[in-house]
Order: sequence, then structure tokens, then C-alpha cells
Amino acid sequence: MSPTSALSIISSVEFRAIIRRRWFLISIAVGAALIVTGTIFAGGRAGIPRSDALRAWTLAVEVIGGLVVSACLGASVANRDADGGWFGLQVATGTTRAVVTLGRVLGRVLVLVATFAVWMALAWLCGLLIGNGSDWPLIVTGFAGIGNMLVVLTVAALCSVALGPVSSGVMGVLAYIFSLALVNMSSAAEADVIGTSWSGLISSLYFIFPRGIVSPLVADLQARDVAGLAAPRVEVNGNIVFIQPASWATVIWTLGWCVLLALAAAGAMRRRALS
Amino acid sequence: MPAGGHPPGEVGLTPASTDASAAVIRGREIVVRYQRGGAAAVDGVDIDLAPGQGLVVTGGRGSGKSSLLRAVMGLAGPGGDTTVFGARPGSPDALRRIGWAPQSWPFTYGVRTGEALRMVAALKGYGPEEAARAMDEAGFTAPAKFAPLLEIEEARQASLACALIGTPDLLVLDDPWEFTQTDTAIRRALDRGAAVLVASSDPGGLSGILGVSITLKDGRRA
Repeated sequence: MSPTSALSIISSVEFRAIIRRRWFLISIAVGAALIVTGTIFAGGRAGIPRSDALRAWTLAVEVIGGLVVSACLGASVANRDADGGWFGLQVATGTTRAVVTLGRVLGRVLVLVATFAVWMALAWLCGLLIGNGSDWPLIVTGFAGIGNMLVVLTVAALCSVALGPVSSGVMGVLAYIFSLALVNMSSAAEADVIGTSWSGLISSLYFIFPRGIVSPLVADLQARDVAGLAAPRVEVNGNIVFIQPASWATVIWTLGWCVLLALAAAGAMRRRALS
Repeated sequence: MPAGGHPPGEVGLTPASTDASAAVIRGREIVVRYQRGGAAAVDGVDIDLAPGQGLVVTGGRGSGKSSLLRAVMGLAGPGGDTTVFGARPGSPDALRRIGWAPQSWPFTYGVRTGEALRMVAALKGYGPEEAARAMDEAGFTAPAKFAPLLEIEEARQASLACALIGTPDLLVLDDPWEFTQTDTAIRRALDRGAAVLVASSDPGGLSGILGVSITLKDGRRA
């Protein structure tokens, strides 16, 4: 059995198992219901406010729902199944722990992508229904959201080797907040609205750690402050900070970090006792 | 004489370790700790198992039986000098030759038991028909059920079916129930020269089939 075949088998089993779980189905359904509600709300408006309203609702679903789903997915990579025997059953077949772990992470990444695909497709359809047309910037924002949530998932996955599910999920969400804060503070430093003594530290952190991926649409909504909590305007020391959309370098850097975190989780499972 | 070629009721092990290369399991000073610095679940146990030989590990609850089997599987790292098929416990090459029946069927949500068994078969390089054969041999008839919905008896049969996938050179059965299928599977394995390691607090008739037994108490040989 080649590692790629084993990876494929384990990820597909994990994918099927997760998409049947109640919490996941409820999350998808609640997200979809909120997007439909947002569509009804947006339908009562006209022009740019209508488009902004649907985008804000969709973004809110992608951020809040995405955090819930990705934290739950990442937090379940190791701990409970390692103690409950499922992980051990997979390892007992002669598949290396690293491949089992990566297969479990990959299966969860596929679930995350599927979740966003459902929400993005629904938002796109809703946009068509109320006459917004094909909202490609919103689709691009969905992909950026997947990138951000991969950070949550992989950090939670790594933590799940040693921590319980709740702690692992919380660590994943904190990593997301940290990655966005880095982008915001880096933009503030570039705009000279924070002290120079902090600028060096922030730049260092920005160039080391994973960064939040800000889409052009989110940067525009933040600048116009029309999306509420989904894309809040950034103010530092009373100054408005305009966040620049993420470059491809940032996207690659952050995704590279996700790969590293997944590999670290695979490595950390080597010595974990299994039932 | 039972199929395994061992006199029933024999306690203690003959030194099968004289030819280490032929040994299926050669365990020396096996130690299992689940927490660093914590109490040892298994503490300095030696075991040997040769091809065609059976061994039942008995003992009360918390005596370390399951931990000893996990050590052999490499699931809980064994301290000491232990080899399984000449490799360290948990090495993929060794695990592919082992049929593992866990103590309780993994309580995971969203996976039908048949799917789980087909996954095990696929990861061992077999097709779904091999999983079906193993289910049939184990008398398991509820592949469509999710793990949490299995009756206890069905869960034990699923666990046995898991071990019977392929033609393992070593069966490791953690607390198997004594179904007719269990007896048959153990006899068949011993007949074809495979080794069988069983942990059970109440082995009943299995002791007679397996021949050799050791008893653990508080992680040590009693």
C-alpha cells in the first residue's frame, strides 16, 4: 500500500464520516439559512447597498461559521479518536502514524472546502436571484476565507495531539485572530500610526508567522465600513488604517505554514499512546 | 492435544526465544507508561511467541492485559527490548502481518461498521470482498450499522472480523468473546502456523485452545 493510496483511503473515510455528523450538518444548514435571510434582507434594498448587504451576510457566515467548522474539524484530528480506538485501528493496519494523521487532516480540509463551496454557491445563486449578477469578488473572498480557516484547522490539529478538543479549537481561533492582527498592525506600521519601537517587532512577526489573507472585496468593505462585524474598519490610535489586499506571496506563505503545521501534527503523533 | 500443539492449561512459557529470528514476538522487560513519570501499566513483563503457538494473558481489571497487547502492536510504546517479526513493535512491516481485534469497537460517529472494515481491508491491500469474507467468518451481520448503534455482541463480532481480514501471521485479540467463530478462527490460525495472542480476564475454553497462559497483576507477572 503506497502512502498516497493510504492517504486517499483515510481521507475519504474521514470525509464521509464527518459530513454525516450532526454538528456538521447543523452548521451547514444554519449558515445556509443565514445567507438566505441575508438575501431577503438585501432584496429590500437597491443598487450598491443591496450588493453590500448580501456580501456582509455571506462574509459573516464565512467568518463565524468558518471558525466554528474549522476549529471543530482541527480539534478532532487526534485526541478523541486516539483515545477511542479509531486512530489505533487505522494505525494497526500497518499505515504509518504520519500518513494516518495527514490523511485525517486532508479529509478535514476537504470537508472545509466542501462547506465553503456550499455557502459560496448558495450566495452566488442568491445574488443572481435578487439581480446582483455573478458576484466573482465574493467567490474570491470565499477562497481567501478557506485559506484563513486552514490556519485555524491546522493549528487546532497540532494542538489536538496533546490537548483536549475545546482547548485545541480555542488555540486555532486564537491563531486566526493573531494572523489577522499581524496584517492590521503591519498596515498600521506602514501608515506610521504606531510607534517606531513597535514597528520593528511587528514587521518581524509579520515576516515569520502566518498572515491573515485579506481579499480585495474585504479590503474595500473595510475601507467603506459597510459590512459591520464581517469586515470592520480598522482604527489604530484614532486613525483609520486602510488594509491592503493580500499579495500572492502572503497567500503562499500562509498556505505553506498550514502544510508545516500539518506535518508537525504528523510528527507529534509518533509518540502518542493510542488505544 | 489442541490444534495449536500445546498441552491445555500449561502456565508459564517455554523459552521460545532460543531462536530469536523465528520468534513472532520476543518481548523483554516490556514497560508501558501512559504518562511520563506515571505508574507503569505494564512493568517488566517478558513474553515469547513462536509461529503456531498460542498465548493467553489473563488477569483482573486493570492488570495490564490490554496494555501489554497495545505494546505488542506498538500503539503504546513498550520500553525494554521487544521485537515483533524481528522489527520494533508498531513498524508497518510487522503490523501488516498482524490481525488486530481491539477490546472495544472504536466508538466513532459517522462511520458504518462495514465501511470501517472495508477501510481496514483496503489499507492492508485487500478488496471489499475480503472484508465481506472476514465479516462472514466472524458471524458479523450488521455492516450498515454505525458504531454507537452496535449491540455489544455485534461490536465484539466486528472486532473479530477486523482481525480476520487477510491471512495474518499473528492474531492479537483483546478480550474476545467466546463465540464459536472465535474458537474456529483461533484453531484455523494455529493450524496454518500463525501465532495467536489473546488477552482475557475470563478465557474459558480459549485457554484449552491456546495452551499457554500467563497471568498479570498490577502490570507484572503474577
